[in-house]
Amino acid sequence: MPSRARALVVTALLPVVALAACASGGEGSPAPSSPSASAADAGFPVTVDNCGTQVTVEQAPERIVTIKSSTTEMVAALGLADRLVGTGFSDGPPPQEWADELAGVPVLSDKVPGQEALLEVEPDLVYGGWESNFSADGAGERDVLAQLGIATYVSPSACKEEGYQPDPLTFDLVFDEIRQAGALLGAPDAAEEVVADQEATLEAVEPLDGVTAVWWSSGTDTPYVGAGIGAPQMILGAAGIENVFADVHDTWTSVGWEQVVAADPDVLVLVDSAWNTAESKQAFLESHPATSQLAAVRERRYVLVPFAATEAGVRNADTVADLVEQVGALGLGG
Amino acid sequence: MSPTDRPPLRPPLLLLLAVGVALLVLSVLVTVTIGPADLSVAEVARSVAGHLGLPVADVARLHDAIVWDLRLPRVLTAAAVGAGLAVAGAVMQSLTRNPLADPYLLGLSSGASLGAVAVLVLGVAVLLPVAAFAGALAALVATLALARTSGTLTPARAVLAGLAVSQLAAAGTSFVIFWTATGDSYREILSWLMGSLAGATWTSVAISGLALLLVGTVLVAAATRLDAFAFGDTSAAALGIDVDRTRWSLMTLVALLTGAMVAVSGAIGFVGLVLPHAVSVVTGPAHRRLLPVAAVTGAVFLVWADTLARTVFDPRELPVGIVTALIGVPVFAVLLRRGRGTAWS
Amino acid sequence: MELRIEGVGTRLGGRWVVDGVDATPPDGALTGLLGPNGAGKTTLLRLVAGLLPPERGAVLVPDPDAPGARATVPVHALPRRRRARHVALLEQESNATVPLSVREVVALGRIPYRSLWGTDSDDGAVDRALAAASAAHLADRAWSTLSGGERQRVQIARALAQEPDLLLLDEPTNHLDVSAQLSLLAFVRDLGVTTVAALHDLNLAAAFCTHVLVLSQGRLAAAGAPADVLTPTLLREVYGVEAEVLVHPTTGRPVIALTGRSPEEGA
Repeated sequence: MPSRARALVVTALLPVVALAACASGGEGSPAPSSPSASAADAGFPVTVDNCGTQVTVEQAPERIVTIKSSTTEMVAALGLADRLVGTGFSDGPPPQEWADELAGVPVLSDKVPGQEALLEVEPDLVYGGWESNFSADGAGERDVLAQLGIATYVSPSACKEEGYQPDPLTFDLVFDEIRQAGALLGAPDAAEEVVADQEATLEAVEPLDGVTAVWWSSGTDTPYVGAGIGAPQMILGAAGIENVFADVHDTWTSVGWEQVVAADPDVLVLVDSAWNTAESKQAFLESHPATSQLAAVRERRYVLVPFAATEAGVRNADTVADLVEQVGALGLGG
Repeated sequence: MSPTDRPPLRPPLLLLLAVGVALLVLSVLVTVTIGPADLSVAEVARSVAGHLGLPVADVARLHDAIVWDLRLPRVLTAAAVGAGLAVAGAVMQSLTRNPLADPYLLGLSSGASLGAVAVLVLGVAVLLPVAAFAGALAALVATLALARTSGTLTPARAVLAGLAVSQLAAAGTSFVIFWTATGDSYREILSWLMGSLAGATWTSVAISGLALLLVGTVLVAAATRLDAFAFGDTSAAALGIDVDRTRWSLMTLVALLTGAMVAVSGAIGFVGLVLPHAVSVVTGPAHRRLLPVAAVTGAVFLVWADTLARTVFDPRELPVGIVTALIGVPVFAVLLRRGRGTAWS
Repeated sequence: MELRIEGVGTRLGGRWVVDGVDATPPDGALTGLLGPNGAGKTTLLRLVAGLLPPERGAVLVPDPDAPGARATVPVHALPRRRRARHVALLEQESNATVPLSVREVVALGRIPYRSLWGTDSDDGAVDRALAAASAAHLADRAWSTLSGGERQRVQIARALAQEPDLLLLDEPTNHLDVSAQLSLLAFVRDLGVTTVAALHDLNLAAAFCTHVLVLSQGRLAAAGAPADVLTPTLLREVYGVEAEVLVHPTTGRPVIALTGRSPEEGA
């Protein structure tokens, strides 16, 4: 009995962590499905199959709430920042180009806003970066919000369902997502412009060659690294960098330092976020007896990417260009 | 005749220990050559020999790092933690006269988790093992203080107080996680809560090895006193044991040992619960035999469980707690069947 | 061992469960400790064993440091291990599910003699205790497979392994069949060790004990030879029963024949 009770304590604790872990695992992965309403057709109503949920938007949303930086930045990129009535769960400061427009938008919560905080601003559309944002202890279940007349939309790249999860994520899917968001938000033309911009950015990139990398997102005991089918692989691939863990069929994965050391990558991509800075990652790499032996660490061949740019969205193309530039500056890949 | 009618076959202690230690040495030697990175046995041997000061040809720098800085400390930590948990579990089961007791019974793992989570999530500038150990000790002090408020330290009181402290610490952990719900620091916490040896360094070897050596020796020396508890407290007292003081000091020692183990590896389940039972089938319940053999068996067990954890899904890492549970639960089931009508009825 | 119980008393939960008991059980003989449930028998045994310090009075035993001399010491003041080499106590119930062999159970009695590393100064003590308790044939059996009578015998062997001068038994005949009760008490009587046994069955006490102590509500109601103590008056006062006390035709010992409950006072 005492032992069982202890087990209960552990199980009682796990859901919180598991949920959170799921949430953080849901980064970037758009749906392979293309919008059922074509991007060119600006006419409402628009209906899309979003991670298995039918979402119908009757008219262009006027009061939008975004959760996660990727969605906030998507709305800003579509030129609709003035329709935002609230944001939540920021992963970091927005890029300079949208900083002014977003400055005045109320922050509902630095985490996922609760249902009341959400309803108080009377949104007509809630745009979430992760499926897990829409849960009873988060912003609310999607069907509950629908009954209240609030449309919900999840970044399709974050769908976890078989058949909806992108496998692998590609820039074409990211562009589809941008177009779909444009259609739903009533800005199809702006979406096309954004996509055109991104395509231009990517075309201007001269992919590197012969550079290997490990994309280290978080974790110290068991590093959590970019794997074969998610945003890290998409970005590295477009930059012409070979991902050491490309063979692992997952978006991100936990590995051991042994594999990292054995692979001896040319560069280390360090994801930078407020709660897990690239600086702390460098300090760890340089103090750990095994990783400090890596050539990339001894020669400080680090490449930094902001966390918010590593989820599928409008910053991925710039990140590719940025990576190529950073690696080039290290004198590699030319 | 039921199986328990047979005179128990009890091999000599020295034979058991000799076999166990030989197995352990062999296990360490073999598992250190196993890993996701493709290293030859010769390379591994040269790396170890080189560090031991033997004149051998150099090994490639990174390969050397893999063997000497990743694999060997991890294997040795696994051995020390497995031994420590098995001993701690056996002692706790005797002290509480509860066959389902494990080393974490007094709220230790929850306390350690709270300490560790505070460090992982809040970014407190303390080393994780230190925080986990402090958390475990705080939980122990709280448990014993709570158990003490109502008089003598009976097993039932200690267990109930441990439960209350566990709940509180678990609530605290949940709160910290809830309050700081950012990014994916959870993954680290989850892996820590389930127990993992992935972060083992030579410091971990030192912490767990020293704790095992110091506390384990004292516990083995106290084996005779533990035997005296077989027929309960009064019986132990009549055999000249200071029941209260013995229980206090041994529980504290178990807590120190467990705290050190949790600090380096998180709360690895089942080793401390199942192994003492499995080992006592062979050694009998006399602690002078049980404790040393449980230590060696626990070491061998965890060395192999962790080797599975780090290699089966290469390159992915599996939390070792999953492996110990997967092996431990069936063993437990067999022991339950076997024990029907006797100790566990 | 010469044992002197001098005015001992102790409280549990504020109530005096043993209150001012004076007694001198005879040396080397079996003394029966009698009294209804709740009279304080178990507590008195624990006081005599030195496991419970008396709040009043003292239980005095010969000073083991001065053998031969007439010096006595309070039993609870003896160092624990030393005390356990002189005084053995068997509890009323012994857990039937302990996963030990009989030999291992008896070896527990050697704990007071073991060194820090568990070595026993006297290897033969366990075998001697098994033999003395006529339990040698059980040595390799599993404890959990023994019958009630065998179990008591092994427990006594365990107590004998302590090589005690004073043996304290709490209801040793509980749960035994009649034949086992008789053989156990005959065995204890013939040990030649000063023994105090709490007993439930008045006729068994009358048949085997040299001396009896009768407790009533924590106080000593009577002490002496069974034939002198076990009178109809005492049985009425202490147990609230009406009885005839007869004389056994062959042993000459008292036999108590119960007739019924005493009428409630004032009824």
